[in-house]
Amino acid sequence: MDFKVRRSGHIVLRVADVERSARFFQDVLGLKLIGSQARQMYFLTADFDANHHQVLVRPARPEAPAPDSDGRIGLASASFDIGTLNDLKALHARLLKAGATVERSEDRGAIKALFVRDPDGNLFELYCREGKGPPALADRYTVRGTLDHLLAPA
Amino acid sequence: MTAAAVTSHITLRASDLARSRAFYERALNLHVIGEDPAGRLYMAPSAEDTAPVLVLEQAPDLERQRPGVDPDPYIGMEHWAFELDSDDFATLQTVYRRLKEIGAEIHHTVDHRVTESIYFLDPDRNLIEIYLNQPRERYTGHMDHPYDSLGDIDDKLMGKTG
Repeated sequence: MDFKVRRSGHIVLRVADVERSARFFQDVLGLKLIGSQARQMYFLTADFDANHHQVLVRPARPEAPAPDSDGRIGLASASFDIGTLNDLKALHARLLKAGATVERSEDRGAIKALFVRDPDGNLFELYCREGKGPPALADRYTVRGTLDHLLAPA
Repeated sequence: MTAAAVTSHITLRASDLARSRAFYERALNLHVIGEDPAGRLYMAPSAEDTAPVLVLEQAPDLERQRPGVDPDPYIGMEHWAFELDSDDFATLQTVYRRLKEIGAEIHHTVDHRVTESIYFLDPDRNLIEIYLNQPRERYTGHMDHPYDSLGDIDDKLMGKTG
């Protein structure tokens, strides 16, 4: 018998301030808190029936250094599919309202992506898909420009 | 009302791209579905998939190692979890045997009530979880804290019980 991965499930982050991070993922990604927050573990998901948790934030060691992420071995970014272009526009408005920093935007044709840092500096790619059918793989990396013309100015 | 965000993929910087690729091909049966001009490898559950669950890129600076995993949690990603395409515990046992065969370091195994999970380390010591979803009725009624740790499942994975 053999096996196969079905899909990506969740990311667990060690954070400096669990409440601040949980707020970020609620305000920005639209996730909801699930269950209790025993042991300062905050479980979040957009849809419990679809995926029982997508993000878990829990405390880092006190005084832990901030991630020195760029170029380092390990996590480069975590990506979430957030739906249509209208969903991406709504998310962008929430980002501005939440005071989050949009690091860059990329128009790759059928995929349009925003890169955002969480309060600890971890990089998240939040993207939408356009057109019928799945995007071509090249639309995952062929940057044709920014999304400045599509998104409201900050 | 906006659509619900869906967990898509993770991009990992690898110290040795070829080594990490070979590891994920064997550890999780992932397939490279494409490579971009920057040399990033896009990996998916099957060769026919068009959406990646894992992207690997070469780390530019091998001196900048990440801190180790537990017991000294730093700020950043603790782990990333993949869901197994099965409802059958025997499938998780197959993954466990595969991880042992290829010499992957098993970090721990656990019954989380919502999942039964194996945590293992990739060649760069990134902590990765592979899990078997549990039937909904198993955690209905435990909604206050459905993500328990009900002990390890080492013996069960090795077929010693149940």
